[in-house]
Amino acid sequence: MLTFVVRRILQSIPLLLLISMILFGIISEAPGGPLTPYLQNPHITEADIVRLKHNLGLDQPVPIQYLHWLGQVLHGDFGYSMSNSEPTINAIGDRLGASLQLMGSAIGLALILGVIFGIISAVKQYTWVDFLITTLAFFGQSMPVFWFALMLQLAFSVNGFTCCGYHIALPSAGLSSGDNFDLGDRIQHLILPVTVLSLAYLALFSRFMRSSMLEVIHSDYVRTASAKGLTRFNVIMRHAFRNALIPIVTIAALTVPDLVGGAVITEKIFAIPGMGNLFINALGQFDFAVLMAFMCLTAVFVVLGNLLADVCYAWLDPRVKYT
Amino acid sequence: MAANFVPNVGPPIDVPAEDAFQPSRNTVWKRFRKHRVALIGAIVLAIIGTFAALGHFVYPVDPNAIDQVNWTGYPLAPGVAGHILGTDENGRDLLARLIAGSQISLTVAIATVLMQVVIGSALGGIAGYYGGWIDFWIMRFTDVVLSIPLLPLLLVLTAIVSATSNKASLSFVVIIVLIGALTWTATARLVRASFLSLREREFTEAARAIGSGDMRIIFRHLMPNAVAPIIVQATLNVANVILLESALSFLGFGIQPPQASWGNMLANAQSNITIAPWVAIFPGLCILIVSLSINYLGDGLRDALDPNQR
Repeated sequence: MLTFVVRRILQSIPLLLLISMILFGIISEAPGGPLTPYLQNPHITEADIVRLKHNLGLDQPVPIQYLHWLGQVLHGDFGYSMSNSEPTINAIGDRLGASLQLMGSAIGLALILGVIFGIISAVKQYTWVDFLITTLAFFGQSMPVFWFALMLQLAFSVNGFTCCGYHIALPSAGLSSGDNFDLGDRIQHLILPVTVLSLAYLALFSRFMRSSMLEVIHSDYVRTASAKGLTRFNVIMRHAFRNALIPIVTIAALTVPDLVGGAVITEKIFAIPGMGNLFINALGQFDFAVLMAFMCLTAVFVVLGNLLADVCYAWLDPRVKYT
Repeated sequence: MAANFVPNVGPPIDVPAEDAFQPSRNTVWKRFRKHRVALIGAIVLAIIGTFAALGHFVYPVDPNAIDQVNWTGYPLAPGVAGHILGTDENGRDLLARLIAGSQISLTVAIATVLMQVVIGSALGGIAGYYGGWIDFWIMRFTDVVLSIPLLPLLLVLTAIVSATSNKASLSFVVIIVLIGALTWTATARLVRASFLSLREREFTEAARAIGSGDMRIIFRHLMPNAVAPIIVQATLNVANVILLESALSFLGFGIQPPQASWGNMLANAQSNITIAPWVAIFPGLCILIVSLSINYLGDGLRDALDPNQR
């Protein structure tokens, strides 16, 4: 097990180096290079630019620049974010929490509901409940996120709505109303964006859970359990459910990079100060350091997520061999 | 399986490409017809396809023309001054823009998926057929492409292309090429997996024994057997590409105005949503209906063509 993990980690190092090289090459192609934010600043003269270029090593060939960048990153220095006027690492630190809260709530909610829906859907295959859940999954899969977000804002926050005699208008932007943290307030701000994001994940999880559960239900050992005279509930929850959960754990592990990367579209529409928002703002000004840090960080988590998925799979299912 | 081995008698003739395996067209149609919702999806898609192709003949309004006479600076409501679905914030007819947008969105989606299928089948086929180090390197390349998050990478690429090219508008061909060049990985993995098992089968051995070349084996014997899952996946991918392109256009990095696309029609809708919800509602509804229909169609095709894959 340990050798498997170590080998996989060692294998992913060249992969990540190659990815960072490709990304560096692509992002260096931006017109103006890493100094683009300064080119738009009227207070910075031509001579300043030349001096900055020299000081930052930007007058050197791209491969040399890459090695320089890599050296810095390996020392934990992701460079200076020119659009945020602070070190990139601080900019990311400020935004990471919001994305983790948003994505964590969305994926967590979708995971719980998806597993429950998937089980019900499989156990009641071809009934109206199954039809309803499958339809919901199809909608989740086909829904344009940005439109769903706008429609929810239109329905629940623009004019508000009346429920149980109360007039409610859910907040449509940001994560808090005041400067102080307040749990109720935070939850109110999270309701709409979390609903938007969790629908797509719910579709994914419930469909996987349904097909995995169906496969298990029709297997011999489940039939044996029923034949022994166990109650239906016991058969489903104690025997079928556990094994059906294995593929879901794998799929859930693959969503790890989303936790860190945030959601570009949803964060933009709901003005949530998370990673997605940081990225899209950096892109507008070609903020080199932030773009590189964001892309490489998410790529690292994609690779880690894949590793986690494989490890979970092998750990949960002893029939799987490590190779 | 053994029944498919065709003994080689006489001159090197073609080994019939596994017709016995493939469900006949009739069976496929019968199975597909049972999936009611998929059938409805196909009909809806046919209607929308017709709407995209012929809409501007039935409703000959210029999608980029501003209604100078009636427009007051605010979007006109549906039905006002002959605009069936109203106008957007610039006084342009919404229905005409929806028709123009449908042409762009559907063209981009179909062309992109064709590109995915060509690149994915070629790389996946070569990897699966030859195996060894060729397979190893192609799959490592696939890993690299898969490990970079798709939407951010596409945003970076389109931003750089549009900033470096002098043209103010990003051609839709660029969008097709960029999305196509980054999303063939799933097809490649699929084709590779089926080729890995197909190349070990008796009919492949038979074809090789009668002296067929690699290209002939790949295109005449292996491809026809791997085609069903490719069709299913390609169909589902049309929906994914429509969603992806509209998301790019919504964020301002895809199809550029004044060229209408369903995604960029929503770009300014958020700021006007209180006064003109219809500007936001209709384009998104089109995206949802089309992608829902395609997903159901793909589901039906999977049941019909490939009943074991569920």
